[in-house]
Amino acid sequence: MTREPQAQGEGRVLEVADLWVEFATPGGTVYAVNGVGFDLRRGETLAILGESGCGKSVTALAVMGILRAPPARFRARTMRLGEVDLLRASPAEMRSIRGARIAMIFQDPFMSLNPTKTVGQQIGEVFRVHRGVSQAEARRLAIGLMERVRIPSAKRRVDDYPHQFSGGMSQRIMVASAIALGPEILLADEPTTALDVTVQAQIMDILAELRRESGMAVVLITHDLRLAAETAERAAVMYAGRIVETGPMADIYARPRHPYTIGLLRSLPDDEGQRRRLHPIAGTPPVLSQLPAGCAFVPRCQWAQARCSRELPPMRPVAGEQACACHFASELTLA
Amino acid sequence: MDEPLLRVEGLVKHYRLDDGSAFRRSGKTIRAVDGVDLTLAAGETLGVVGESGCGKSTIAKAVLRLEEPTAGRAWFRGQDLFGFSRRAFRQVRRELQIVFQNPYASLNPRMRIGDIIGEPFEVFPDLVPGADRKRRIGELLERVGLSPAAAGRYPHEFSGGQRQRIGIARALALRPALIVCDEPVSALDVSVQAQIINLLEDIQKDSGVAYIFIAHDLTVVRHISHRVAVMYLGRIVEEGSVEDVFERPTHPYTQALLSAAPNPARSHDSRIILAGDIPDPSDPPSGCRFRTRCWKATELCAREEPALAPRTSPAHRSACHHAADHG
Amino acid sequence: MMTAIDHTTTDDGAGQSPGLWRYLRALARDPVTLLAVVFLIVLAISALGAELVAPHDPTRLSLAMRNKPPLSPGLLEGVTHYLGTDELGRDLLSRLIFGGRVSIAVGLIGALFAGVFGTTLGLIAGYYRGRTDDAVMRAVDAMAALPTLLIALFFLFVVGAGFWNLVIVLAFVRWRVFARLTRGMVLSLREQPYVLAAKAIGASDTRIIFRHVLPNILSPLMVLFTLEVAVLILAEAALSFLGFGIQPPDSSWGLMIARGREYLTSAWWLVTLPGLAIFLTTLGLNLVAAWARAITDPVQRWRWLA
Repeated sequence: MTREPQAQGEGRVLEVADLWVEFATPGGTVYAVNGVGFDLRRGETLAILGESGCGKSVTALAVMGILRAPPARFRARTMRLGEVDLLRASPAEMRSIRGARIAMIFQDPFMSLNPTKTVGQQIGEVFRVHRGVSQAEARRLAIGLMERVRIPSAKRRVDDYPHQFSGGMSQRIMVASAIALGPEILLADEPTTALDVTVQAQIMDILAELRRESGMAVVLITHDLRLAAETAERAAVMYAGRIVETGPMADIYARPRHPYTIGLLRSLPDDEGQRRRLHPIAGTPPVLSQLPAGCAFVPRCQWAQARCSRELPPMRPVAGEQACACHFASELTLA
Repeated sequence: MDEPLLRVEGLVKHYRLDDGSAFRRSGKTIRAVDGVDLTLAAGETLGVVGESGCGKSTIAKAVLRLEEPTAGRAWFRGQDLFGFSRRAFRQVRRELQIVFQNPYASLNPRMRIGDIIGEPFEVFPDLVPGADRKRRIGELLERVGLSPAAAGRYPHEFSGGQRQRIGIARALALRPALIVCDEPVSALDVSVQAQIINLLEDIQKDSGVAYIFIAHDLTVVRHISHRVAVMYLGRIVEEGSVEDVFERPTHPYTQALLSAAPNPARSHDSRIILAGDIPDPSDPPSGCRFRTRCWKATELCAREEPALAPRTSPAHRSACHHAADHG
Repeated sequence: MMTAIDHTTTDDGAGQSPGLWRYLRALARDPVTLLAVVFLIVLAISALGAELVAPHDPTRLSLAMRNKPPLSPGLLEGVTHYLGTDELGRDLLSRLIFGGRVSIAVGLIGALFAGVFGTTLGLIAGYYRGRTDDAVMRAVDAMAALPTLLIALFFLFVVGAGFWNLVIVLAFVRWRVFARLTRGMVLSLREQPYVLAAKAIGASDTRIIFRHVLPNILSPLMVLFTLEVAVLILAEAALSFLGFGIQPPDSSWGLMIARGREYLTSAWWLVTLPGLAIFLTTLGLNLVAAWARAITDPVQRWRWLA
């Protein structure tokens, strides 16, 4: 799990700007993503960090073009995959992109696998759909992929059904079918949250190796700050559907600037077992159907001033590549 | 030596797997907990860590007799817990409470918060006179950081963290001496997790309650516990003070577990990546149960099950033939 | 120590148990359900007060008025047979009202008996497991394997036809439906943390069953109950048709269909109208049950009562 030096040429594989997603529900409109933008560079890992309901998964689904609309409505200024404008791609073009150039894995591998087909058939399906290869060839390719994600005795297990695999092995199968066509981008939505910590280490190790070998870029969507800090080069921290802080992961972990990021780090027990009292963030996240006009973090922020509830703070650079959406970012440090 | 608050010896809980046939039970038996000893002093927090299927939650259910243990003995303040009839056990149970992992499933959706927290007073009517109950429920709600007005509301109106507070208030109603916390924060967001951990710590400081804190998040266990027991496949493989277990782990599984937890402060090169999966708990490996994934395993490990033996201090014990070897 | 009191809840005001007024208001906004409720109320009134509501004596024959279509004028001045007459010249509307009383009573009382008996056994089986569970479930399986209509026929043949015998035999062949559904739900509920938490505070089994288990399975049971009322109304029809159910001169919708069958080509209303009565009753019960299920669920309630 070594960090890659930044790929040369600043090649941007994914560009998203000003993405908005809302859901019409009987309880009112839920504003899930509110003007999110980020770039993904070739071969890097970008962590999208945040707690449940912050919009991080919805962002990924929107990029994949698999948000169900209705109930979702979404718009964006830019959404480009390399030279392809995803906003103008036809459904057929999107289908040929999904799985081939951009792939996704989810938190619950069991829900993503079809219980009535063998894992070999499911991994091989990608080749059958996108490349039209024969069944025997698909099976052979599936075995190769299973070996790449280090599933023991892949030749024997290719004809097993999903229920015969543990959670960790099922997630490997998901990874195998995601990387089948050598995508440029892997969206990993909480890929290890449902797994035990030793299994998490195995999966992250496999992902790191695949990334090294293929130069694939990874968007790691997670609530786990430490996992992100260990894996990602850059991060975007989301709160209430907005990115509140972005920059190099190490900088954010060492010197968070946004009050929310500061709060998140201070609520974690110490890395080294120093037993200090935790400093939770007071209160609960806002209801996404009733977002305030100003900064959404105001009710939970100890530094909030009158201006914060009036004016939405724009994203501003604070130091180096680090940027932060807080009126007072330059005055705050992790106490 | 003083009698500890809780002492468990040789606890075993096996589940027979039902194959669905009416007239015959299948031969498979899940050995969820397979011979566990524990002690817990008053006011102490014992962390129990391990991965899914290691039996940590089963211990909670067996000690509280939410499920009848298969074998073993347990004493609470010197009283034989498993010797009571179910009826007589109710009186002891007042002092043993539990907080569950899933805040969404641990409150009856059709009961108001006041009725949920006040139910213990209905079960033990002589505890709090009827006239005082409302006031007492209000106090409990304030104790866990909620407004007494919450009593009239239903569980679905509260967030996960707030529901977990309600679950804690219910556990506190009978003024227990021991609360088993079964993954109490693992379903919560980080910021809320810290609120609940602080609350549990405050309650312990004020009331001297003891906790068995079951979790898979090592940093949380390290933060809240005085002593820690590490479980693997139904057995305790290492136990001791937090400092001993986290800073001087001697069992390979403990070492692997600690090294697998993400920690940006540590270099990655030293990480131990275990091979394979946890074995089937209905058919554990012979000898040491960890040997199939252990890089130190020898032929001795397959033959002979290691016993818990003292390591860096008499209270720090681990079950490994090779714990003393370095490397 | 200091703990900030947290006043935030997700939805203000939804905590109060809604009064009757709010239920009525919610009903007023749902015209289909409202129509079903009105229909069922009219049905209930006419069944209870059949003597007062029915325009004619349902047993009075008139050979001159046989098989007259709906809206036929009667023999006397100013009398109209709104729904026509049957093969013996009896007023069909009046017969529908009196027959409905019997049909609904068989359905309701039969389903009630089956429900109480089946739910009780299902609760015991699911909650206590073990041998009791095995015994109950074997009985359920056995019941499902038996040809129920034949059993019912045999039973009625031995003890004789009649209202109460019919109700008892129908409850006997249908309790298994309630038992199976209840047991399944109890099996998953008994592992719910809130049930375990109730155990942990020392709640007795009776308390757990009545406070924590039963209220949380009641909604699906209510829906099953309405479906079963419909099933039993149909079963009553079949048994009456075969001559083992309701005996003339009493009547029921099922018996009316059976008798009208011979005149299907010449007097369509003899079969169609009782059939329509059964259909509308079943549909109404289902609509009301679905609405009741949604509105008694505290999680969904706000949508309907807002």
